Parts: sequence; structure tokens; C-alpha cells
Amino acid sequence: MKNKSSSFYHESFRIFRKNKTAMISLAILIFLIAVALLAPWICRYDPDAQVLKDRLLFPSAAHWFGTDEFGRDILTRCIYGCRISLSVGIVSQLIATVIGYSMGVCAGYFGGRTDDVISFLIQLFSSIPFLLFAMALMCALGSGLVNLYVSLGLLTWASTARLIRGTVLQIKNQEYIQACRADGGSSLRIIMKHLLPNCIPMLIIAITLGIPNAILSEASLSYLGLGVPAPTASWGSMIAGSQTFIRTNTYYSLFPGLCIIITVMAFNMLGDGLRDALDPKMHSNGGSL
Amino acid sequence: MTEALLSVQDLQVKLFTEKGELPVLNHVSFDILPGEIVGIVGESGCGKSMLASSIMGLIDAPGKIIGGQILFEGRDITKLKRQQLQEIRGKDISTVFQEPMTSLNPLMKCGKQIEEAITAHEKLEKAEVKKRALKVIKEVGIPMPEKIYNEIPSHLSGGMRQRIMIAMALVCHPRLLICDEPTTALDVTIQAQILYLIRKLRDETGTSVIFISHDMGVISQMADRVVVMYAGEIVEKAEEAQLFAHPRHPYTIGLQNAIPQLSKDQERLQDIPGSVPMLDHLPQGCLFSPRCPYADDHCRKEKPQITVFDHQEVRCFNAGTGGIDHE
Amino acid sequence: MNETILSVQHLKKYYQTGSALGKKEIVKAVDDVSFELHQGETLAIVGESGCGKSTTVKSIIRITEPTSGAVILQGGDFLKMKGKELHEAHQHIKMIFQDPYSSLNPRMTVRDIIAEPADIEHIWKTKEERNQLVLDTMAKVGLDASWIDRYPHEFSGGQRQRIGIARAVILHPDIIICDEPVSALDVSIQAKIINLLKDLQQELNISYIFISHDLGVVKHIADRILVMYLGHVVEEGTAEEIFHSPKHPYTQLLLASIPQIGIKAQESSMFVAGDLPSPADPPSGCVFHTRCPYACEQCTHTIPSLQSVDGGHKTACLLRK
Repeated sequence: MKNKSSSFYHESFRIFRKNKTAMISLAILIFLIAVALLAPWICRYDPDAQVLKDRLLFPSAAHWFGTDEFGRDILTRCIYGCRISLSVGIVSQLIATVIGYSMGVCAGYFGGRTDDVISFLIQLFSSIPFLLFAMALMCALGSGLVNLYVSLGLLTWASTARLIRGTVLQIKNQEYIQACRADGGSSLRIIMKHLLPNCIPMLIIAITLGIPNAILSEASLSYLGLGVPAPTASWGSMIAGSQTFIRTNTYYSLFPGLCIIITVMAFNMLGDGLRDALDPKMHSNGGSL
Repeated sequence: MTEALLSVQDLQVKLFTEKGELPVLNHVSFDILPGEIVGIVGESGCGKSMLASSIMGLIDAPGKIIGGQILFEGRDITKLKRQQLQEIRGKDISTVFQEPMTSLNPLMKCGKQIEEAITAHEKLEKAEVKKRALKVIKEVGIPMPEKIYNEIPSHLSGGMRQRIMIAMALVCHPRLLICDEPTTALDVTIQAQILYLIRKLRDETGTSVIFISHDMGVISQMADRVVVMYAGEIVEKAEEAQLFAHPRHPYTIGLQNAIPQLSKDQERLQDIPGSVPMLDHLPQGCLFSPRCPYADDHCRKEKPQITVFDHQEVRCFNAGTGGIDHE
Repeated sequence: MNETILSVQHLKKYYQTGSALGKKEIVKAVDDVSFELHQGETLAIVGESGCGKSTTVKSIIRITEPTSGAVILQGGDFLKMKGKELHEAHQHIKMIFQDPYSSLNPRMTVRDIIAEPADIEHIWKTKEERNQLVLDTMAKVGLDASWIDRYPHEFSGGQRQRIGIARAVILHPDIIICDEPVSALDVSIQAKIINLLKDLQQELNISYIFISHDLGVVKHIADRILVMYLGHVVEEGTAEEIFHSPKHPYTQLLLASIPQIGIKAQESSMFVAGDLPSPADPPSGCVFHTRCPYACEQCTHTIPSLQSVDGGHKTACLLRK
């Protein structure tokens, strides 16, 4: 018996710490979140106010990233765009996860017709051409941040549900689940006290890896004019706006583009690192054969 | 005296892990004569499976053979290259594992798999190969060889699959058959059939057998001689009858007393206090001393070597002194 | 004879397999099983794969719901109980599982695992009460109090099994079903756990239903034995009767197959006999007739019922009476 007790998460954190790529990604993301939260205080300029005399200025000491065709500071708009992207990514994935977990657990645990119906829904939502449907939904609901959260959440729950259903199918035949039933435990108890804690690692990974997709989707939708409405800054709409100036003022598309790439990569690498750390097989087990 | 078919001499195997070097097999030595069944018995973690892997040349990183020799018909197989080992495996030395589904392709017809085992080592006409395959399926006691030839393993029962494994192992007439817990996953009535089959095949073909099991009853049925292992070492070696009638090592005695037997009426089973040591925390002195009711200071400080009593080999300082009682 | 505390009557569990479009098969995992458990005794159920012993006990304790039958416990039919009555009854019958590695939730501490049955039944009123209950139980099963906040992966197989036993024992049930509780353990650890189970039986006056495929263990611990084959009970009797004068050919085959130390197996015509049939496709008439050296024409179409041969010693065989 070792001296120090180690819970699953202590052990996971220990493994995560060793992964340099993951730690760097985490640092980048913490930086981005801090920047997004502190935006009103750290930005010198108003992201939406037009200053027409300063149109299309190249990067300088006054404007680190230059200005756009309305004279707005691109750095400021990138920072505000970061708020949009992060909030869309995180909130939509939280919505998707709650829906996905509930559906997945019901399908996996109750089986039978419940499983048939939910599996059909999972198939349906997985087969929809995503962007097309997102466009249709946003057209129907109208553009706006909350509508974006809901649409993206509604369209991406299926992969989480499938993952959870698979996990629950495996776990539900474990003897500790049977033990709870034998003791008279209700299905609700089993779902919340036994299945959920064992699914959390998977949910964490699913959210982390779902965020980059949500961010890219938001960027695409905003590029098409269906995301956040003008003049709100969004990396996608900035790239759309920069199209006309791509040869003359390349910096205009470069900076929002880089922001997207860095953020998406950071989440992906964090997700990979978390996947390794949270994998129970990677945890140490003593030296016996 | 007959020349040994296989002679394991002072074998040492270590596992190189982030916790350090773990000694998995420590100075293991024993011989097998042609036509003999040697039983290796021990609980989990004693190294018996590692021993089987070493003989088959299947030790890979992080494990490594760091000392000793394994002489098969005079050749040291620890020194052979991969190519040469592949020639021996399946042809001169074969293995039957506990779980047939890990060695059998669940979706390939049984007949085809057996034929592959033949063609890997011998060049024969297609018709001849099929004939051999059918013959060996019959020899392992399967009543309708043609039918099973065309079946896939996932359609067969556990006992049938094990028979197919044995067929594959024996089809090239190996001189040594290693059985690693071959009946542990089988029901007891099917186990009886498979044990009988292995004994019968040994009688008919003269193949030597290394039979590994944690079940002393099974070892008693099968073995001519028995090797008892504990924490990577051999602690006792003797002829089967002698070992069970007069066990000398406290671990062997403890094991026998812990097993409820049909022939005895016991109020309480005698357990062995403590548990098998972790490889990264091996005791100083005799590895069994922390759990041994007869251990003294000498045992705890120094490692005992093998001593011989009347054809029985024991690794214990107190074995011959009359201080140890078997029941 | 002690009083009957559990009565299983005509228990059946049939599974339907096969896809929605393909051929449907009915697997009769448990086919009309009846028996009684008496106060303070250990009743063992033995048999090989597919005999239905595990399914029988899981149906009794309602991990799976049986197809039909009754389980009389605490004066009522446990299978039909609901709500408060069901919760009350659940406190009297508990289960210990086979696999120490999957019977404990890896994310829960020892404290929470052992306390769970008490949590479900709302037994305790304060946290201190709950803790004390857990500590008392841990002491009974030989677990060190300092391990109360550890996680399952920090324990060995034998210790995990003790945690499982603690969970079963915390509410002082009358009946504990032990489903192969020592099969996954090393021999020296098996002995410790079996001794513990016997001690607890004495101390807490528990009756056991003990499932095992290992007849050596069964002989050591059982008072009475049920032998099952393909969903049917083929013989029932005291341990003495079953081991010294088995009446059913399957029981005889089973006993002859056990490898014993120091006794070389006799070659028997039984060893050449075939495989265990699949429960999805059982033989007609007496389910054992395909492997029975004494089978006759009648055995192929008549299902024998369990008849008494000598008092409580019963067997289901047309020829051996």
C-alpha cells in the first residue's frame, strides 16, 4: 500500500504535466482567455467605432496590427473577436455536451426502443451536411450570438452522444453497476453516481476537441454573413471583409487568420494531451507482473 | 543417463521499467528429458509465463534475457537470431496458450489455419497438406474432421478451439510442447477431456511437455516431475508423487494446505499470511521468508541455494533439518 | 430442520436473441428452477458454462428481471414487490460478485463504496453515523481503517474482494448470494476469503447461496448442493449425499472430472463424450442425454422432473431412482 493516496485526477494531472506540448497549449489558452476577459481594459481603441481618416493603415506603433477599411484597429478587433470565438466554442460545446450526454446515456443504459429512437436521431444529425444546416438554422433564427450558441450546440451533440452511448454500453455490464442494482439503486442513481463520473474524462476530451470545430464553424458562418452581425468583430467576418484587400493589405487577413490557427491548434493539442492523461491505461500500477 | 531435450541453465530475465530493473526470473535451472511431462506450478507473478516466453524466444523489450542459457538439443536458443527462432517455433517447439482466441484467427477456417502452420515449415503438395490437416484434426479427438475443417473458430466451443490449438501445435511433430494454462478457461468436464488428450498424445508421439498451471490438482494429474516457482525463482523440484506426498519447501506445503481437497475434511483452510512480494520490493534473504512460519534470522539475511535431498531439490535452509512438518 | 427463509418457485429466464429481421431464437437460460434456502445454511449451486447458475441468482436478486416464477422472501413475493416494501426487502438479501476488478467503481473511495447500500436505504442520519457504520464493517472484514479514503486500484485482488464483502455485509442481511467470490483469486488468497466468509456466517448468522465451479471449495463450505445443467436442476442433496453417493450421471461425470492431488485420473468412457451443448439449442427430452452413458430411447423425448430418491436427496433422471 503506497503512502500517498492518489485519486484518478491527481494521477492524470501528473501525467499531463509531463507533456510539454500540452502544457504550452494550456498556457496559450490561459493567455487567450485572459486577454478575452480583460479586453475592455487592455484595448486602446473602440472595436466598432469608425475612424475614416485612419483607413487601411499598415502595422505601426499606434496600430500593431494595422487598421481595416473603416479605420478600426485590427488588434482590438482581433481581441474582441477572440471573445466571440471562445464564447461560441465553449458555450456551444457545453450545450452540445449536455444534450449529447443525456441522449447517449439514455440510449446506452435503457437500450431497447429508447436506444433505437436515439440512435436514429444520432444517425440523422450526423448525416446532415453541417454547414448547410447551420446556414439554414441561422437564416431561420436570425443572426446573433445566442442563436449561434444554440445552432452550433444543436448540430454537434451527435458525436458526443455516440461516444457516451458506446462507453455506457461497455460500463453497464461492469459488476459495480450490477451491484448497485442488486442493492435496489434506482436508474437515476446509477446514471448520476456511477455512469457520469466514469464518463467525465471522455466528456472533457469531447468538449476540448469540439471547441476548435465550433470556432471554425463560427468563422465560416460569420464569413458568409450568417454569424455575428456587423459591426461586431469576429475573426470570420474580418477575413470576409479583408478579401477585397488581400493583395494590397495582406496583414488584414493575416492576423485574424493566425488567431484562428493558433487558437484551434492550441485546443487540439490540449485535447490530445488530456486524452493521454485521462486514459486509465496510462496510469501507473505498481511493479507486479 | 538420457540426454536432456531441453536444459534451462541459470536463466535470468529482467524487466527494464521506469521503476528500475525488475528481476522476473532469477537463476532458473531445470531439464526436460524426451517424452517427459514437467509441470510448472506457482501463483500469479511467479514468472511461469515468462519462462514459457523465454523458451519460445518471445521475450521483447522491456524484458531481456540477461544471463544463463537455454539449450535445446544442445543449441543455445537464447543466442539464436530471429530467423532461426522462427524456424524452431511451431516446428520443434510449439505452444498451446490459455486463450485460444488470441492465437486463432476467429474468421479464418480452422483447416486453413492448420495448413498455414504446416506450410510455414514444410514444402508439400496442396493435397498432402490437406490430408495432414484432416489427420491431425482427427487425432485430437474431433469426431467429424471434415466438418470442423471448414468451420471458423468463432463458431466453435471453448473445448473445440483448444483442440484446434493443440492440433496446430502438434501438426509438425514438435519435440517439445509448451502448454501455458491450457485448460484454465475451460469447464471442468471439458478440462478432463483435454488433459486426457494431452497425455494420450504424449504417449503416442513421445513429445515432451512443459505443463504450466496454478492448479495443483491438474499438475498432479499431468506431470511426471514438478517444478514449484515463487517470485521468479524455483523453490522446489521433485518427482510428482514425491512432491505431493512429502513436500519440503514451506511454500509448497502452504499451497497444498490452502487448497480444499475432496479427500480431506478441513474445518479451516490454512492460508499463507501476507502476499506475493512486488518485484520492486523484493525482500532481502529468502524471498519467501516474510511469509514463512519457519523463517529465522538466517533466512531473512541470506539467500538459500538449492539443496538436494533424496532426488528432491529444495531452496530452503531449514528443509532437511526436520524442523518442518508436513501436516 | 431450520426454517425456510427464501423460497424460489418455478423460476424461468428466457432470452430472445436474433435481429429484428432475422431468425429469432429463444435461449432458456433458466428453465423451471425451484429450491429453498434454510436459516443459517450454505446452499451451493454448481455447474458448468451455460448451466444458468449465475442467471438464476441474478434473477432472484432482480439484477435481471425473470420471465416468470416467484421468490418468496420476508413473507411476500420479492419479484412483485414495489416501493417501500421492495426497499425493506432489499436490506435482507445482498450479493458478492466474482471479479474484484470490475465489482468496485474505480472513481469511488472505499468509504463511499461500502456505504452505498446504507445510502440507498437512508439508514444513517448524520455523517458521523455513516462513518462509524463503515469503520465497523471494515473491521469485521479485516480492512485497515486508514484505507477508508483510498481508491480500488490501490488494493490487491484479495483486498478488493474484502471491500465487496464489506459492502454486502454493512446492513447485516439475512441472505448473501456469493457469485464465484474466490474464482478470480490466487489459491492462498482464496483460503483467506473462504475463512472470512465462514467467520462472518457464524458471527452474523447469514445464510449463503454460494455459486462455484470449483467443487473442492464447495465441499469445504456447503451444507446442501444444487447441481445445474443447461438451465435445469439435475440433482439436489446434502454435501455428503452429493459427494459420496451422486445419483445423476452428470453429477457423477462432474465428480470424476475433478483433478485431485495424488489420484491419477481413470480413463473413462465419459472422457470421450462430446461438448457442452449450447443453451440456445438444447437437446430434446432430458438435456443431458447427448452425453449420458446410460441414455435410452425414453430420455430423448421425456423431460424428467426432480424426484426424491432419499428424503431431501432429489434427482431428475428417468433411470436412476
